[in-house]
Amino acid sequence: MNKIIALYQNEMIKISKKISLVVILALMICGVVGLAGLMKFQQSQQERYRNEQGREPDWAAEEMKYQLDMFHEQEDSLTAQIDAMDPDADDDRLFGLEEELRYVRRQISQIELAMEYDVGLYDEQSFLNDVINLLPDLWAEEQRLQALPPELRPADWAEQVAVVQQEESAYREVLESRDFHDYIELVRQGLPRSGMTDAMILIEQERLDLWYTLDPSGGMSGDMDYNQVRMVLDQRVSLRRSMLERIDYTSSQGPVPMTPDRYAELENQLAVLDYRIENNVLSSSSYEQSFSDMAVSSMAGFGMFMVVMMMLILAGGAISQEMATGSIKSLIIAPVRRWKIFTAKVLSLVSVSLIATILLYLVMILTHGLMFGFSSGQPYIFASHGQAGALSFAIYQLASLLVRWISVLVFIALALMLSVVTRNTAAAVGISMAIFFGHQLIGSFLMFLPRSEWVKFIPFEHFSLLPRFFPFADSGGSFITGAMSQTPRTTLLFSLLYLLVLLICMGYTALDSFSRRDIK
Amino acid sequence: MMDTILQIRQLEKSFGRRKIIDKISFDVQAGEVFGFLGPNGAGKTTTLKMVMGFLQPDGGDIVINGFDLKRHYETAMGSLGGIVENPELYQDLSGRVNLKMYARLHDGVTNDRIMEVAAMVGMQGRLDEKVKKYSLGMKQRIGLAQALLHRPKLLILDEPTNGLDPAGIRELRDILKRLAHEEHVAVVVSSHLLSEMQLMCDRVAIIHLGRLLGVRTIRELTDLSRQTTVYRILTPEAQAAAEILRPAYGEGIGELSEQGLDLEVATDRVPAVIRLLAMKGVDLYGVTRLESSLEDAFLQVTGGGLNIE
Repeated sequence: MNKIIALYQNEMIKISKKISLVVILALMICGVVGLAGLMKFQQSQQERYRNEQGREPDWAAEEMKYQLDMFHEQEDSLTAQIDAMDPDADDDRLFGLEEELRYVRRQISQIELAMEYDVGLYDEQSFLNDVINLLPDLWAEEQRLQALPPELRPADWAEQVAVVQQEESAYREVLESRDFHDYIELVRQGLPRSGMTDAMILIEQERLDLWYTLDPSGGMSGDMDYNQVRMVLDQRVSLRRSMLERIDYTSSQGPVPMTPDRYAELENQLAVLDYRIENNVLSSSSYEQSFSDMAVSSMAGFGMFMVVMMMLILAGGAISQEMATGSIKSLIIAPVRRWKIFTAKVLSLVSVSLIATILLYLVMILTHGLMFGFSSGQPYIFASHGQAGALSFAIYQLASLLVRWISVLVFIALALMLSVVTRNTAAAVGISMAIFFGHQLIGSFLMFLPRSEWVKFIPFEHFSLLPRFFPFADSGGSFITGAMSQTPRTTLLFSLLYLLVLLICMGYTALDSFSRRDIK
Repeated sequence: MMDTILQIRQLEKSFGRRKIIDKISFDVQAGEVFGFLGPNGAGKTTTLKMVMGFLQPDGGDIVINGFDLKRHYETAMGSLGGIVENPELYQDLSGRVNLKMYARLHDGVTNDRIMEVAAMVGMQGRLDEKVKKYSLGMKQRIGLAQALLHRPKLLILDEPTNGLDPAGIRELRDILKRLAHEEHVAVVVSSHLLSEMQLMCDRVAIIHLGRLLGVRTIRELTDLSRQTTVYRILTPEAQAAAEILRPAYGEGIGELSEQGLDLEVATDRVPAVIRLLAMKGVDLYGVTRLESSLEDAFLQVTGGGLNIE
């Protein structure tokens, strides 16, 4: 054991003097800082663009006027066309034109309404836009009721008309008062009339409550991204509904029957969503957040890429380079068994890769903190058995770098094995780099393979550990793991075992070759 | 008192189908400089590399300081120091770091010992320079210092004089002799030059085509070669000279040529031969001693009875 420690110390001294190590680490740090700087620059460009827009408040109003004129022109030309047509001739075409006319008139009334109540249709996002969208529907409904010939009117016709008119005036009041709470209450009152089931009404009511809690201004204050809030709430509704009706509405293939596994998944997704809403950490689609997140993921991806390159060069030359220069002689002649020399080499490579990963982590966290603010990082929110929890940004980033580091280990083993077996540095580094670059390509081809059993024994399937460790992460794509948005074919445990077996096989081949073969 | 430090028994090694070492056995004692002599390709380096752990023997035993290399590898190797061909050090590190790294792999090598060994090879002043700035001679000194750091009982140097200048060779010779005779180290040196061996070694093993032809003390070797040596008598009248010499030295007369004749004769008889020829009026341009070849030497040593095909 003492001998292994002594050999390990020697290996670390040797590696620390390698120029390739210093160069690649320097490149890694420069690249990481540069990428973050690039993101910061783009963010500031975007901000400047927004500010410039803000300084010209008239553009939206002018746009509205322009659109209004355009729709008026269209209305004129459509009415002219309809008038010119023979009412009995072409039913389909007439119907189409009338439909178009209705649409244009609706647009006109919306724009006029927005102008009346001074709501920016194109530059503002708030519940007022929703009201403006909704009112024309009510008018249309009223018109339909009024247009019914008296003999077709139902018994409660007068009542229905009264309700619609009442809603109309209530929504107008909301436009007048700009009170989000009134709007929420109004929608809530309308729910029983919507024809939804009781359960769905309950879900909708939850949605309204959450909405008001999340953003009491309804988008007026600009604190929250209005569209994002709506998207999150819609997502929650579809999750709740899927679980309630046991039909999967969240699938991209449309509604499909629910499996128990899928149900458990959705349960966890719902828990995560609720945790986000409760703690006000919404997903990262707001523009400031997305630059910060993009910076983090590109830094991690590029940094780990450089770590892999460095380790392939170091491991690929670990044995063969010493053989080429002859410095292996002083190791062989020392009173240590060869497996100890090998073990010390492996330990030194593993610790160098770990040190580089942790260095990358520190540089990343520091750069990100300085450029985007130390509290801007997104935590990782996960759930199991319907219970949600959170990892802080700093811990989550460390953990995900360490997960990537696991696949780095496999490439170290590969390069080291080639270095020992071929005794040729160029071959070892070249082949292992080819496999590293190739595996991402092959990995993306494998996506198109049918889900048959043998596919899961292809090694490239198992390098994308990140989405398996952190299934609730927003984006898992990256350099080293290969973008893998699809659900993995195999479980995390299977992948880890597979990689372990791979590591042992390659390690044993290298060890056996190194301890038995003659050194001439 | 003589301790056997290195015992080699029935050592065998093949590369592919070719047998490189064929059942070699010999012993090396403490306190002697042991020469390993043979032409290039005879198997010297292969044998020594098996002792130093580079190659695995196909058969036979190697025992260093009483420990079998197969069963007690680390203990056996602990009493061995050596250099194979040129010492290869880590170029980007200083001489001192190179020595320290090597010292770490042995028990009980102190910093004082590092300085002591550096002083012994005359490198104490330049230990902190990077190895890549050293000359070949300096690298060899550091290599020797490395081999001596842990006070090995057995020191193996493969072709140590390669690339050394005459002064360096003399210095190395002195160091090795002192190590053997004063500190009782068993020193094994390989070479293909008999002349070098004669100046350095106490005993010599002669190896040819993977087989050991014999082990003799250097005194036995030189005595024999002194007793009968071939001299070339330079004269245009070779035929006449041969006739004159035939009665007394008939069995020693060798090849006749236009330059002269070769005569195998004891060294102490050479003046008498010259006098005889001069008296008979033969023109003498010179008499040179022909270096007896290595094969001649060991053929003599071993009685000439070996088939060395």
